[in-house]
Amino acid sequence: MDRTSLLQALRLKGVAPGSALVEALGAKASEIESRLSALEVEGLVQALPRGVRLTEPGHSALACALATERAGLERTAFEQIYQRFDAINGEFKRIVTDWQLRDVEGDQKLNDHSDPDYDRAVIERFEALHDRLAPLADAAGRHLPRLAVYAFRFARARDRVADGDPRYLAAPMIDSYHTVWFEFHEELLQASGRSRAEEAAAGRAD
Amino acid sequence: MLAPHVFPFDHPHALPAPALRALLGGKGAGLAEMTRGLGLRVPPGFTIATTGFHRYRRHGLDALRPELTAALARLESSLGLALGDPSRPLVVSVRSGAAASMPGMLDTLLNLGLNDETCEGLARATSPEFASACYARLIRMFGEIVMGVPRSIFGGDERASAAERVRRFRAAYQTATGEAFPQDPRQQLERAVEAVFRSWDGPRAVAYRAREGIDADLGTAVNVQAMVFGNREGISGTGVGFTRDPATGERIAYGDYLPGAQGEDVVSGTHATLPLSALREIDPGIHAELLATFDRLERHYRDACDVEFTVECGVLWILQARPAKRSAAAAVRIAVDMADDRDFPLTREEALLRVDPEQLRQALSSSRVSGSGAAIARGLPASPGVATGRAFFSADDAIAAADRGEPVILVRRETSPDDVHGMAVAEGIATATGGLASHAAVVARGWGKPAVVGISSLSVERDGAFLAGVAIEPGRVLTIDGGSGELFLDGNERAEDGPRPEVATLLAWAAQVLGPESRQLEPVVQLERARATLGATAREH
Repeated sequence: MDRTSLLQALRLKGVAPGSALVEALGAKASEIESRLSALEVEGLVQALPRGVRLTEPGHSALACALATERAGLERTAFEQIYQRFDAINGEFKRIVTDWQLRDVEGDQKLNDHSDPDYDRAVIERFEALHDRLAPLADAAGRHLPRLAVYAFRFARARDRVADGDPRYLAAPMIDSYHTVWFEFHEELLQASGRSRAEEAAAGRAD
Repeated sequence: MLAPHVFPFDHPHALPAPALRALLGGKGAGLAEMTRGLGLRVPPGFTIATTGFHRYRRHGLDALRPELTAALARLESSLGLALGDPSRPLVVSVRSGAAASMPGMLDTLLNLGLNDETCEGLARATSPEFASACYARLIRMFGEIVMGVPRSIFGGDERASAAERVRRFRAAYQTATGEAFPQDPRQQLERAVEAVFRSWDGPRAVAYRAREGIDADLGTAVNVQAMVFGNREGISGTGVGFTRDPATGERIAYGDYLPGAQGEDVVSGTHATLPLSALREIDPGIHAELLATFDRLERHYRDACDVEFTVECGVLWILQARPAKRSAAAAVRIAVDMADDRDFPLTREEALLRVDPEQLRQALSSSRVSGSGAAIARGLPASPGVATGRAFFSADDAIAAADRGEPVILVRRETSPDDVHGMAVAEGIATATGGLASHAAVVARGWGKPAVVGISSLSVERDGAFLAGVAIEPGRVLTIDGGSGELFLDGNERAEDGPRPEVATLLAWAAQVLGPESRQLEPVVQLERARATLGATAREH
C-alpha cells in the first residue's frame, strides 16, 4: 500500500474509521496503523473521535501526488474507461434504486423485501452488470496500479451479496458495491481530468 | 368462417373485461381499452390473441399468416406507410402480453422494419444518427432475443458512432449466427412473433408457472404496434404529464415536454425539458387536445393519471396512461377534491376507500409540517420521512454541528463520496441536482433518512445557499419532507393550525359513515373503521 492510496482513501471517506480503511485498501490493520502514525507526525492527518481525516496540508500533499500521477497517465485510455463506465452507470443506479424502492400499485414504496422473485430478479441484473464492470476495473488497475484494489473490492462486495448478505449491494458506510462504485467513479473522474460538479450538471454524475 | 385470431386495437369487442384479458393478454386489453374504450389516439396496431398462440402451437405460423397479412395491410393503409418502403417505412414494435406477467418471457422488440434501405428513409425524416441508433438497437435486440446470441458479443465501445455500431453489430451478428441480419422486414416481424410464442415455453417461464400454479396452456398474446417518433421534422416532441400535481394533488396539469426528442430522453433527465404549459405556446391546439385527453382519462379511471405522449409532425399520440403515483398528501387531496366535485364520478364513500390509512398518517404528519407556512421550494421526493434541522453546507460543518448536539440538514449541490460521513450525522439531506437514482438518494434510503433531491431552485455556495431566492445562512432551520419533496423554512411547528382542510373533510365523511361519536377516535383509526364498515357493506351487495 503506497502513500497516495492511503491519502486518497482518507479523502474519499472524509472521516475514516480504521476498519473502513482496512476494507478499502485491502491491507492489514497493523500496517495501516503504522502508516497513519507516520502521516500524523508529518501533520498530514489528524485523528478524531469518529476516525482519521486529512488536514489542510494533507489535502495539499494529496493534490500534488495526484497531479504528478495524472501527468504520467495515458489520458486516452482513461477517457475510454470513463466513457464505458458512464455507459453502465445509469443501469447500476437503476438496479440499486429498484432494490430499495418498488412500484406497488402505482406508488413508489420502500422495498420491504417480502417478494423473493422480485429481489432475485434485481440481484440477477446486478450480477450481469458486475460482468460488464469487472473488465473496466481490471483495465483501470492495469493503467494505474493504485486502482487495482477496486477490482478486488467490487468482486468481494459481489461475493458477499451472492453469499446472502444483500447489505453489500447498497448500504452506506460499509464496503458495499455502491460504496465502491461511488469511489471508483470519483477516481475515474479525477484520472480523466473531470470535475463531479461539471459531470453532474451534464446529468452524468448525480 | 373461423373465429379471428388477430384483432386490431380498435376492434369492437363484446366481451366482459376478464374474458377480454384472457383473449388479448393484459397489455393487449389495455391497448384495446385505450383505443376503443376511451377513443384516445394511440399508435395503431393489432394483437395476435392467445387463441392465435394455440393455433401457432398446433399448426405453425403458416396457419396465422393470412390473418397477419390482412392486419398488417390495414395498419399500413391507416398510416400511409408500408413495411420495407424505403421512402415511407413502417416501423413497429413487438411486445408479449400474457394475462399475467411472468419472468423469462420475451418482453419487447423495437424498431422492426428497419433494414439498410429503410434506415435511410428514417434518416431523412429524423436524423442519420438517430436512424442508425434505432437500426443498431434492432440488430442487437434481434440477435439477443430472437437468435439467443449473448449480449456480450455486441459489447465494446458504447460511444462509437451509430453508423459504426450498425457495421459492428451486423458483423457480430453474422459471426455468431452464421447468417446475415435479415433484411426482409416481413421476415423480421414473423420471427419476432415466433420468438414471443416460443418464450412461453422457455425454462424460466415454465419453472415460474410450475411454482405459482399457473396453467401452462393459457398462452401469451403478441402486440404489434406502429412506432411514432418524437424527433421528426415539424412540431415533434415527447413528454410525460400528470393530470394533477403529484406532490400536492392540486388540480393543475403538471409535467415535462421535450421538443424534438424520444421518450427515454425525458426520463433520463439529460436534456433540458420544458414545463407542460410551454406546449401551449408551441401549439395551442395540441395543448388543448392533451388537456381534454387528461380530463377523459380522469373520468374513465376516476382517478388522477400519468400519461406518456409523443407529438409526431403535429399529431398527438398517447403511448401510455395509468393511475398516477402520488404523495400521501396528494392522495388525500385528490380523493376529496374528486368526490367534492358534483360532476365527477366518485362518491364520498369511494373517496374514503381510496385513501390508505398509512397515507392519512403521512398526510397528517406532513400537514403539521405546513403548519408554519407553505412550502418554499420543491424537489424530488427521494427518501420518505420528515426531518427538521439546521442547514449546513459541507460534511465537516455538519459533523461539527452534530457533535455540538444540533440536528442537521445537510444541503449540497450534489454529493460525492466524502459527503457520506456528513450524511451519516444528518437528520435529512437536500441536494440541488440529481434524480431518484442519484448517489445521494441511494445513500439516504440506505439509512432510511429523509431526502429531497433535484431541487432546481436551490443554489449552494461554499458557505450558504439560496433557496427559491431566499438566502439561507449556515444554521438556519429547515424542514424537508422526503415523501412529498417539499422544503419549508423553519421548524416543524406541531399541530397549531390543525390538519389541512381536505384531511378534515375526509374525516368528516368518515364520521358520517360511523356516527358522530367516532370523532373521538384517532384519525387513522377512524378512517380504518370507516373503510371496514364500507368494505363490509360493499361485500353485502
